[in-house]
Amino acid sequence: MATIQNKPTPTAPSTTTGGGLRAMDLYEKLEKVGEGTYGKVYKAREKATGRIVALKKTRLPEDDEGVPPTALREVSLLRMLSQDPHVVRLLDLKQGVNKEGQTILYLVFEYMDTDLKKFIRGYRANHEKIPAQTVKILMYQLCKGVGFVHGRGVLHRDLKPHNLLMDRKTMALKIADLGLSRAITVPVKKYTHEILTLWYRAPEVLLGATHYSTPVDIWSVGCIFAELVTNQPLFPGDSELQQLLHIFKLLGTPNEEMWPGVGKLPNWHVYPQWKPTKLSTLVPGLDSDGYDLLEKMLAYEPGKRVSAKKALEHPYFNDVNKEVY
Amino acid sequence: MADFRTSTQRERWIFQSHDLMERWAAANQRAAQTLAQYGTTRLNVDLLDGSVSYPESMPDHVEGSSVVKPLSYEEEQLTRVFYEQKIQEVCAAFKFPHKIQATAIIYFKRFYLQWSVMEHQPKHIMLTCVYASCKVEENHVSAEELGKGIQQDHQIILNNEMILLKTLDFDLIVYAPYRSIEGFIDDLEDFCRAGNGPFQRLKELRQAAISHVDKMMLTDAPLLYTPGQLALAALHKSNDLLRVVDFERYLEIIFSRQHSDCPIEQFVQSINEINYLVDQLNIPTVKDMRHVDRKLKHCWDPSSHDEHNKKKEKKSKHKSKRTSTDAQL
Repeated sequence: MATIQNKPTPTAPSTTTGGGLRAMDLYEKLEKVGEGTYGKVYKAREKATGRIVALKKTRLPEDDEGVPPTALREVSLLRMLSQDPHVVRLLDLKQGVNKEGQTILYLVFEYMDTDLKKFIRGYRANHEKIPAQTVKILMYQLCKGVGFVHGRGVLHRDLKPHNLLMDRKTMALKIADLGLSRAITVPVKKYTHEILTLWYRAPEVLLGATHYSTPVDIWSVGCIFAELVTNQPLFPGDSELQQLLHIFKLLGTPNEEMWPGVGKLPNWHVYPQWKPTKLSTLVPGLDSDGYDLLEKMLAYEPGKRVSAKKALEHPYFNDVNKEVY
Repeated sequence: MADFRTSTQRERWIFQSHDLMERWAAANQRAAQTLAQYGTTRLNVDLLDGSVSYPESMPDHVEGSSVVKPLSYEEEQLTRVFYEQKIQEVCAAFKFPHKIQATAIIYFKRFYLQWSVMEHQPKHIMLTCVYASCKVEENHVSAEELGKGIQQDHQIILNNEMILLKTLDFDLIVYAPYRSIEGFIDDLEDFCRAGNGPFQRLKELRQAAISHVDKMMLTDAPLLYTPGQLALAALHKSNDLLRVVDFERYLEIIFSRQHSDCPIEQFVQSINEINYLVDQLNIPTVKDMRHVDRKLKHCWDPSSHDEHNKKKEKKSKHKSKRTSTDAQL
């Protein structure tokens, strides 16, 4: 955040002789650029410096409960993660009032000009494939960012193209929207499984696992990898059951042999028995290293799924200029 | 697992004891100056964005002429400990897990590293700390429920949320010793099973260590030492009483395993320092706090000081009347 020192100063924080400036006196809204977990996102200009920022606006709920826990969680995690080049930087946090007199909370972020969802959509609209090297560069940055987040003891829990911000010019990719993230604690709590956009949701979550960890994010990364290659979501289900069936149809129905303990998960039933389809058929256009990495990301058994850190060492990334990214 | 080594807590909120003293002294002096200048220490908090402005001068206040005495450095210290213990009581009443209590106390400690208790009412800040802690630790309780549980207006809790969050610099993820104790107990189980003690008694050791950490949380230790150090100090102290394992040998094993930069002697010294802080802990009673509370009230509302003096005068007049009558009898 803008005003943060390394250690809090002994003098009182921001004591003034008058009321503080309102958020909207400091920023000029330029355009709406999207929706976050809990509010609209605007492109804005900081009046004092002319710097372009993203304002993530959340209306404080009428339930008289102050700052929403999701916002608190996002801010506190970003305070810990924002120093990484692959995590979007939180610059400040402001509170203000809208015309209706409702209290509004603004998270002020560095501005990125697009996101991966729009980026893929652009190629799909032109019936073009994203160049293989671009896919590789983006995937490398994604694995690096996820590795950093996991290394800091945080699960993202909602990785999807829309939450990956990009700079078109430099091809820089940054993880955003940590509204559903949480710090991993020990013993691992029973987490809610009402999270994550369905298409990128890991099978253990869909099957009702309440104890899950970093592999849920790796599954999402695998789904994003496939989507970058084909311009199409890999598993576009429209309900939890349909989502599971979609996965089973393509990757084969899991069993105790390939995933010990799967039958004990709360939502496990007797499912139709499908045989796995080869990844090269599902995701045409990758080289053998790419298929190997994708397979490791989409392993059914969470413990067998590759970690983000290990993924970075995979031969698929051998020709990435690691100095730059 | 979330890692303390890379946390904002380690980076920004672990201090040297002279740092703490400096900060408390600075806040205390600032409040005393405000009192002299404006006749009150009550700061105006913008409920919306948590920004703070100095008070309006009290009517009839002549700068530097305040009859109200500010709290001393020691009285502030006493007040902080008193309300930290109150946090423990509130959390126990609501049956919150230890983690929430520890997080709330650490928020409270951090808040009053930067403000004086004369500037923001600790009774109110204490509740806001518990409330914020519940939110961050995903154990959400409504402000109304929390207020009702201890007969306080829940609006007080919400009014202080933004100033609390801003003062904490939004560094809200807190590591507490309780979790470290669980880790060490698991480790000690292996140590015992290898023939180093009766692992059946570890439950007893764990309980004693948790109780010891409860006391530790009321000292400066959480601002000076890491959660791991605090947990080991608690286990060490509890083991001294219960004699469950050979703790010195256990420490040697830990250190040989970790190739730590910090030599074991230095670590043992830290443990001793932590336990010394606990031994020195003086928890004030409600009775001890009466005088301090009165002073605090006067700092906030100097008119209450005049009323108090009038009452005092009335009492002493009444007393002297009675004494003269008694003398006649």
